Amino acid sequence: MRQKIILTLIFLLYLLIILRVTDLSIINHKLYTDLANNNIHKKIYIKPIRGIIYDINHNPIAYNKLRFSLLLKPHLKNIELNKTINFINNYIKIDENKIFKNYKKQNSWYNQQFISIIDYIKYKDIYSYFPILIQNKNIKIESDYLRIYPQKERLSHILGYVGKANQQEINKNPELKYIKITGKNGIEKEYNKELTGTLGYINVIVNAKNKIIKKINEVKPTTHNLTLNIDINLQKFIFNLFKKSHKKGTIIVMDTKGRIISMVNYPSYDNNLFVKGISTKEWQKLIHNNFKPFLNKAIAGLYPPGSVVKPAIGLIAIASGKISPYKKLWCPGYIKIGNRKFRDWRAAGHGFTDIFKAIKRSADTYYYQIGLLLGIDYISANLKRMGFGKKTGIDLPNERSGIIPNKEWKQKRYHQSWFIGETLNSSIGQGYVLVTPLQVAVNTALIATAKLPVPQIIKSIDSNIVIPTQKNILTKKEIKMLPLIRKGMWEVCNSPGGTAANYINIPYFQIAGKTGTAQVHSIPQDVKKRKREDELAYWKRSHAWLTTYGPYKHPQFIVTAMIEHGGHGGSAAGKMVSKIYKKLVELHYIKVKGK
Amino acid sequence: MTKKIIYHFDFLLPLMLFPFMGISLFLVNELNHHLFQKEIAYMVIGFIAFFIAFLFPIRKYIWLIPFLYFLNIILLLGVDLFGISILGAKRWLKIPMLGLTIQPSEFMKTNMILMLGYLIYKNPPDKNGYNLKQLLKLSIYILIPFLLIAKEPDLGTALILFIIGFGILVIVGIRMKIILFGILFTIIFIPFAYKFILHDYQKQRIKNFLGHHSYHVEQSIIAVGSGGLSGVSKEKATQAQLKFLPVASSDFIFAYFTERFGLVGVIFLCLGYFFLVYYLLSYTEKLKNDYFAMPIFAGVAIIIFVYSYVNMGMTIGLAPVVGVPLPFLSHGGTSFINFMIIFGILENLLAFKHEFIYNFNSEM
Repeated sequence: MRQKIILTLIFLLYLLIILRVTDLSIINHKLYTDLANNNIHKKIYIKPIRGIIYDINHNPIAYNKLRFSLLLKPHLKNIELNKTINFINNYIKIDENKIFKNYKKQNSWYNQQFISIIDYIKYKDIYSYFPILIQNKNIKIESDYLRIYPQKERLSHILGYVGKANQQEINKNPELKYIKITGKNGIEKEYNKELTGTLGYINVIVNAKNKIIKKINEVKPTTHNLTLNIDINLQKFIFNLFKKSHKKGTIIVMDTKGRIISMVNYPSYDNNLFVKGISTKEWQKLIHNNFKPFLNKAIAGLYPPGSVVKPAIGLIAIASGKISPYKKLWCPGYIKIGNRKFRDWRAAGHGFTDIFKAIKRSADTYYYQIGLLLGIDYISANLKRMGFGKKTGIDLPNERSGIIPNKEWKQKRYHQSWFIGETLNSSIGQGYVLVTPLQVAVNTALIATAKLPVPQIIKSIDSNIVIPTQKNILTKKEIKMLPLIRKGMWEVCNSPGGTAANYINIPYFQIAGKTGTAQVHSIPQDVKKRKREDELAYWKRSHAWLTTYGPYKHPQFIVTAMIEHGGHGGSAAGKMVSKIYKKLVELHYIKVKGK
Repeated sequence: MTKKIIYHFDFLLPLMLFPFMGISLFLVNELNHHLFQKEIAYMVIGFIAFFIAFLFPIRKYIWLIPFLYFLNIILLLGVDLFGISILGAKRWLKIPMLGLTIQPSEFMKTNMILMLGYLIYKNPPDKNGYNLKQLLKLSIYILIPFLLIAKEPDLGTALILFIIGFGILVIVGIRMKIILFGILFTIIFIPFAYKFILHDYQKQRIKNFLGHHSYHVEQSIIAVGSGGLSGVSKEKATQAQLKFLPVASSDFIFAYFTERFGLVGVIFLCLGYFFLVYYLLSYTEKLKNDYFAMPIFAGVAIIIFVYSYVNMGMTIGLAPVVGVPLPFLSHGGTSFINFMIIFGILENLLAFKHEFIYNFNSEM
């Protein structure tokens, strides 16, 4: 009896084992099979090496140099951390306190990865200590790549720079957790996806000690190299023109399809500073510089266009049907509206003036009358269509749109109604009107070709050419009228009395263009305070514009120059623009017989 | 004479061990060929030990049993006084000159079974079983080693000793009232013991067992779960082959067994152990009047059941992790040789029974 009870009990207990195994290996079989597979399958990531950027002649302008980073194990106790840092200091000179703080900052409980404490160590600085350092189990040394921009300030506004990815950027692209570096500005940011590439990985089977037993498959990392339309020879040449002349401003060289061959802003900054993380001191110095070296003036600098809007407004006028191109208006030294006199730049006026003469001589009073004739809303809508006051769509970040005012805009912005005098100011590109130099260049291309290009820095991604786009935005009538405007712009540069004629000197072909002298009506309060009196004159001077296309007969290139506080457009930029056209011939961009 | 011995020799008993040993060799060889060779070696030693134990006239030298028992108690006391502790538990004794470390609690199980056989043989129960006074007297021999080992602390071994000791007494015979009282007392005592007697780490271990499994047990459950109905091939048994399963060849061999042979294998294995336990227990009926052999058979049956149950249980999260081997399956020389000696003694008790009784009677 007792035996039977004991045996039954034993039997039931063994049955319990069988039931439990049934639960595990039959009912939950899939779960545990998955867990077993999870144990052995690991992905080893392979970092892509950031794509190289070349100029149009295949000169590398952004590439990577092999460097090393030193990393420490996470969750080290203070004593051990200090000991390790001290140990490192025997071989590599470091600021122990700074490294200590840096480690503490990154060492969170959730972080399981090694913490990088010294980046971008040169091979020659580490190779002899490498075997000693890696003996320490708290230290890991990894190879790394440092982004190099050999052209420094000459290309910094175009290329931008890379930096350590922040949490927001990692959230957007989780792969950055491994890649760590991301584009922060310029082309590096705009084409970040292509340049960064995608992580490669090897699927492996590992054992419990994480040792690789078998490779299953491998997916290579991908990355793309970029070729830009930029020609560093021309870029350097223009940069040096600025440097030698001590002028500040921007010059854009673009072909008629929108390909940017060169875009120089002066002064500029060294983008290599940002790669390792710019110091606060240097950053402050950069952003408090009155000449704004950090600003990409060509796309984000807002300036009154002054007379460089006159070809566009002229086209709007003669295509409107309200005034014939051949109609001569009486242009005195000023026009009086109410009590206010609106002056022409020439006190004597221009006498009877048609559209050709109005462009050639930049006759303000002609445009005042056109403004009154057409009204601000009509002018504003059409200027916007022709590329002013809106982003050109260039492949760079942080482009600004500027302002082409109208009645509604003023109501919204200032809660005031429009004054007729403001129409007059707007008609000569002053008043509220603000544009970027690139908008002026694009508009000049429109006049030269009848098509509005979308400016483009990129030439190709790997070997895939990125074809630039142009928009047909002109009406038939406008296209018909275009030659007349071109004629006016030709006269500016070539006929006696043209505002730029005395300053343009190109032996090979003729160009057409338009000058502008944009008054700086108000100087910001802070600028005044910081400047000594004898320098004030500079800040009061007008911005000088000269936008051109050439050769006149078969337009190929647009050259737009904006010299900050340069005074008169023709005198300030004429010589520079001429030299650039000559350089374009020298570089075989423009073919000339016998050259 | 020899004929009689061969006639009483139970061939089925060692035969029943062969399937276990075969499976053990198969599994260990798959895991580590070097261990397989070692296992072959200790199995040979085990059989030699089996025959020595078989041939040793234990009934003649029955006085040796209390001698060995008290020697073992002294060694346990020695552990308490001079023992070396590893990871906070004082379980080992260093033998001077030889540089050997021994764990006296390991021998206690065999010695206690033999000692109980000796005591019961000297003082057999009446037909209603032991009364309270007799029981308390016998209990002293169980409780002394229990307390000494529990103090080390090695609660797992101590409890196993406790279960074996009282299990033998229950099978041999105790008054029904006392058994019922004992069950009642244990039920009341458990929560009290948990609260006041257990060390914090022991409580933690029980909590771990009831709630979150340790990494070892987790991996072992994964191995068992991925076995499925009839197991997977050696190449696909990654839990053990790629070392995720800890000590796969010894304490956790049941997990690898299940990974390879699945539920079907487990059913056969459990039936195998049940049959072995059943067979050993059936001798307690057959040897009803041999008060020396009967408690020893009962003790071996209980030890095999408890070991196999606790080992399989801990592998699948049904019992806390206690370092006991799966009898005849786990790789490990000490445990195997130990079992072979016990089985040798069992065979001796069977085969020489009549000769002994004959001699015994003639001497009287």
